[in-house]
Amino acid sequence: MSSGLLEIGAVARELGVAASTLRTWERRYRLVEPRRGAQGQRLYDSEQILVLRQVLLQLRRGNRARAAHDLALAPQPTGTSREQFEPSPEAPQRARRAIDALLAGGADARFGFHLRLVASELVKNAVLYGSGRDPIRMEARLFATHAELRVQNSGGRLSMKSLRSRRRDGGRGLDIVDALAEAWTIDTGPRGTKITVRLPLEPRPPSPPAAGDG
Amino acid sequence: MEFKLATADLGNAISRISVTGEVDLATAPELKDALAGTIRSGARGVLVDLSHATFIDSTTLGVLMGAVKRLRPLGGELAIACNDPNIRKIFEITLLDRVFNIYDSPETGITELRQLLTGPDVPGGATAQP
Repeated sequence: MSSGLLEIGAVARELGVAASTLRTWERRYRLVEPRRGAQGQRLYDSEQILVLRQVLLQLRRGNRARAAHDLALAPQPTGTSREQFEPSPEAPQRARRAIDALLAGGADARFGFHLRLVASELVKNAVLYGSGRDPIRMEARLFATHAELRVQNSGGRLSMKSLRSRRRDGGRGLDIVDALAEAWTIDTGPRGTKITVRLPLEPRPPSPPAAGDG
Repeated sequence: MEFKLATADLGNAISRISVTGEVDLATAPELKDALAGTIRSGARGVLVDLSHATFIDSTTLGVLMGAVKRLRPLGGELAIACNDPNIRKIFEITLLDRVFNIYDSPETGITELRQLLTGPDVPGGATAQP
């Protein structure tokens, strides 16, 4: 087809699913809605076929059809690093080297520095406040517009208040994470703590001056 | 770049500690010891030269804060030399650029420390050598 559009039969063959499945997904989830040809036939473009491939990938990973459609829309990482570190004073440095390897010199220098810094601070917190026994797990994922960093350690419940109150021991690490992150969450309980940070590729705009500042 | 410290006594109770490489949880204790030793041996103006530092973290900030807290009651002062925008940003986002005197070059920092410690308006100016 000269326009690069494919009819439903061709798409179904390419993806290895029944044409009726594609029609059902279209009706139920409205994620991929192909344009129509002169005779009313469905015509899929390459972007839509890519989205359908993502749906199938999510299905193969064990997701149900609705979840697979939701996940197919989520951006896919361009790079991922999963590491484990012994909880020692050298762990933050190892975390920084893992980020170096993930970026492989291809990232903006400022963004690279921020990602290294946040990884280092999170792993440092895990060393200082974790159980001190089990390995610290770090996952870093790069996307087109941001990076997502997750650091997990075993140990008791940790509260934001207690973290911030430990400034003498480097509690300013959270101030740093606060300032650089677009968003972050802490998930903590009696068995451990997981902190997830989303770091934007573009710098955050400076905060407006506080009310009353001259 | 491997972590290294070099301490120099510049006279008139002024010392410089030059830092090379990365300062973090593993290496900050060495910087802490060097600062404590320098202050114990009589330095009242201390310049921490980060010109060749490639990374610092919140532990480093804690160590530098500790040195400021020891020096100021003695009439002393800590200055920092740093021209790396990423490292300077760490001081800015933690608002510690309001606590430390940060200079682009070690030479400027040392000149300012000399003026500060010998200037007539500064309490503790008498701590400088005659």
